[in-house]
Amino acid sequence: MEDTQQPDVRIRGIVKRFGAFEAVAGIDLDVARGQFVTLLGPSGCGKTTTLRIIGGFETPDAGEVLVAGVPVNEAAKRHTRMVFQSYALFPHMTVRANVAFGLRMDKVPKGEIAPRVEAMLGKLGLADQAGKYPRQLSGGQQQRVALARALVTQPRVLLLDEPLGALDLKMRKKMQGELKALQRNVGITFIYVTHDQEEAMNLSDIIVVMEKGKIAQVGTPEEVYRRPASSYVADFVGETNFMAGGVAVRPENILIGAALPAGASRGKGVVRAKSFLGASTRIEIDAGGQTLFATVPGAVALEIGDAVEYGWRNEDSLNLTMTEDRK
Amino acid sequence: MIGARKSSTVLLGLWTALVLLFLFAPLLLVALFSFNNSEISVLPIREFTLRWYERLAANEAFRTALGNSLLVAGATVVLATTLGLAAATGAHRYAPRLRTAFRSGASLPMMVPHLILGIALLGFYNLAQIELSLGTVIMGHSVVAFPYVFLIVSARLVGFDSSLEEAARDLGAGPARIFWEITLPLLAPAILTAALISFTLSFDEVVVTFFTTGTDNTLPMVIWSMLRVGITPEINAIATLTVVVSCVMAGLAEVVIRRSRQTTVGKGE
Ligand SMILES: Nc1ncnc2c1ncn2[C@@H]1O[C@H](COP(=O)(O)OP(=O)(O)OP(=O)(O)O)[C@@H](O)[C@H]1O
Ligand SMILES: [Mg+2]
Repeated sequence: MEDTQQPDVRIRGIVKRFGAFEAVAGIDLDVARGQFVTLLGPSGCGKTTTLRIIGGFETPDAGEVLVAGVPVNEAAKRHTRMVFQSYALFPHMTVRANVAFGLRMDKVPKGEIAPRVEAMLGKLGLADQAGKYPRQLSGGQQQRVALARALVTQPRVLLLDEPLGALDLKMRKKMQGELKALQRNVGITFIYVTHDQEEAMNLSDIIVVMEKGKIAQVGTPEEVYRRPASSYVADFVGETNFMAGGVAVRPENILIGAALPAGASRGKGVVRAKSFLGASTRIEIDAGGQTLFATVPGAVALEIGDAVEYGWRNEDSLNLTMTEDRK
Repeated sequence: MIGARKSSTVLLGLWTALVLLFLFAPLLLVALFSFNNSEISVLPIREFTLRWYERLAANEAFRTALGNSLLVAGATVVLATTLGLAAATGAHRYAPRLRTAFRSGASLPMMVPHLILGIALLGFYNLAQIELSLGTVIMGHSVVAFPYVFLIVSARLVGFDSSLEEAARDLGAGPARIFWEITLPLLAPAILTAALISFTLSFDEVVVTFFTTGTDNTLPMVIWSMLRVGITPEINAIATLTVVVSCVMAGLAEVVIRRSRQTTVGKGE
């Protein structure tokens, strides 16, 4: 019936303008079935707008989005569901009624609705909260209700716009783990928006790094980290030291003193600051007017003010095309 | 120190009591005299009676006027609330930039003195050759009540999270479903408050009614005509009834507002 080989979501040249401003400036992307794909980028780069176009909330000025091979705005049956940053739970309905809403709208037979709702609530650990109203729940529980409400309708693609943004750090870490497990468990495509690179690395199969309405790089977390396509990506995903002569090196690839092998690129500097992080030590080096960061394993005998020789293996430097601001 | 604060509290309490007495003494006196078994309103009251109320109940003019007033107020509630709700949601959804201008325009009838409003309506009805009747009164009252409904519903819409409607749409609800299942229930407290206020406004209205009515009389008009003969215990009875109705309406509105605060404002939002 449906072609299982084709991508779940196919984005072709979408552009979205607000007045003269191009919030989305030509994006092409294929998302394969069952992948966890994250749109990552700084505030205002067009992540939400892109997600809203995929969800059919905005109409692009150019280009089109196909979900399961059908253009979003022509589809008889919608295949995407959105989890909003504010959760958008219906405050006048119980948790149970919130989760049942989408099934009622899909005209699922009455006898089928209750068992499906209860099963979904159970799956997300909400069985005890079914009769409560959203305001009586904690942030994490509200988050789970929003997920349950979207997932119970069995969409092909789940869209999530910074769903953990409103939670505190601890809760956020916990929910990250749960989200990833949930996605594996239900086996559907997740398109996730965040500006938190750690969260993106932690969750994603594929990261889409965005810059000013365009895609800067698409790759696995490892690819994006190890082989960033540009200095913009290197700077946004992880930390990077930009040396004179267009060389870029990650802090963990900066070597100190005796650790430097023969043939490494070298320089001399002064330790300006250091902090012991347990498994590693982070050192700030004043290298002739430029500040470098090095993360070295274990503790370091150096003190602030000590002269230090630093360097890196040439194969460890990042091979970047420099964007405008770095040239 | 403590003594000074105490005496200032006492003074403040005394002052408050005096203000309240000044505001409510006339109402209380009217209510009291309506139960007084004497033709003239003087203290002390020697004997209590319900005969003025009985006489009212038997008074054909009063009964007709009460019926008219209830009819007019009921119709005004329906008309003003429907129009005000439609205008407020429309302005909120479709005209974010024109909203401020629209809001000032819609609340204009509230600033215009009822005398001017009455004359303007009369002129309009004449021009449009609409015969004066209770229908024209209802239209007039709706003009008076409309801005209140508009402003009350608009205020509620300002705090309305539009992603709720988007979420409903995302889950497959059409525009009508969204309105009935999401928008309307969330606006219900505001709509109810607006309806109660419309009722009270219409039930007490004299000036606009005076200009826009034909041969039919509403309750305040009957009071007005009876007053020309002087204050009778019957008038006290009518006034008491009117105050009771208004208080009940205001009380209900207050209860609705409180309950809505409890159900929609909570943590995590
Ligand atoms: N409805 C709108 N009207 C006008 N401008 C808009 C609208 N929506 C978004 N924009 C603009 O488009 C740009 C991209 O917005 P978008 O919300 O997609 O960014 P984002 O990447 O999600 O950012 P954030 O991380 O802050 O949420 C922003 O500069 C924003 O001001
Ligand atoms: Mg956003």
